[in-house]
Amino acid sequence: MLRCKLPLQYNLHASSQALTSQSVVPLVILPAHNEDQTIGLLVDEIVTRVGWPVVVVDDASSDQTAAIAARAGAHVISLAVRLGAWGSVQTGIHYAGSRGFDYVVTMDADGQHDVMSLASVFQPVATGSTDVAIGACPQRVSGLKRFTWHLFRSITGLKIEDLTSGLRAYNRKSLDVLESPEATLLEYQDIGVLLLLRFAGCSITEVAVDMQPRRNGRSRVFPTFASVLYYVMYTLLICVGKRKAQ
Amino acid sequence: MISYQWASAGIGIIIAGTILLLVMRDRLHSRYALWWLPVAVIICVLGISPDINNAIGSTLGISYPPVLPLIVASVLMIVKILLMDLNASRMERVLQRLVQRIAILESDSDERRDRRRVVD
Repeated sequence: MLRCKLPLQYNLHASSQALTSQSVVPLVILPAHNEDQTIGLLVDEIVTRVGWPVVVVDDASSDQTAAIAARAGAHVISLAVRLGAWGSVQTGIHYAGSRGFDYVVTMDADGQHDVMSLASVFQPVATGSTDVAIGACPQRVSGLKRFTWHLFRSITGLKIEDLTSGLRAYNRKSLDVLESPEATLLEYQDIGVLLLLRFAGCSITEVAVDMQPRRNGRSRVFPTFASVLYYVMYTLLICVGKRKAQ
Repeated sequence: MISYQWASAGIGIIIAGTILLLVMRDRLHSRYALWWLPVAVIICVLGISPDINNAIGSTLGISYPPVLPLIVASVLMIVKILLMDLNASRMERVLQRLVQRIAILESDSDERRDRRRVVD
């Protein structure tokens, strides 16, 4: 388990106390592609320990992810073709809107995120002090990745320490932005999404959380060096093309 | 020996005829034919009367006017490819939202079916 700290100026909500009233229940969205090793335990933990409804968006998995998630108590949405992590999250957001949810919490299905962090990440959004909260643990990444993040921050002016964390909470204002057609063609759920939210006037806060190493091996999003290179070039283009003066 | 003018005009007529045929058989969307038909007409006109090209080239200060159609064709091809990418982006957005909507509808349908089974 990685004990994570944010620089002091970002450490606004380090408390892990749960604060969820009966009327403020978020939908938990888990995008998943071939995560049958972890999805069952993860959904079970959320359902039994946190008690929030869970939707698993099965991103055209070739294994038993959908069946295992359904048995564990999640509502499963299976995509006919692979849309990627952001496409899957957006599908979950559309579903949340159709079911009347005003709050959503997203997390990765590979076991990196501690289920008990959900409440602390959701807290500032539930109380209305921010539109988006990101569960941050910048210490989990390599030096090279941190340098790349620094580059992206410099170009965009985004003052976010953990740019790629998938552990996030959103309120209705930010969900309306992310449901839009403009958000559809984003390939990753980091810089492009954050810039879109910033341009729409959504406030974004980071919450220090603990994270674990990925439970089952290598990254699904960046399995090869070529995919990493593509990500860097694509994100640089987004940073330059979509940045605006502060 | 066939005059090159007749060859160019013939090529233009064949292209125009092919485009019209594709539209009539619903193989080519009429919207795209609006791009290709003028192209065919221009090829026909330049083929039949190459002096037009020489006159335009001289007016523009091009020392070797026959290169003008090549330059214009290159620019038009770049524009066409860019328009194709714009269209592909639009279709990808539409397709992605359609896939998402279908997946949600299917999951709703599965849920209703499971509930009916429980009731039965």
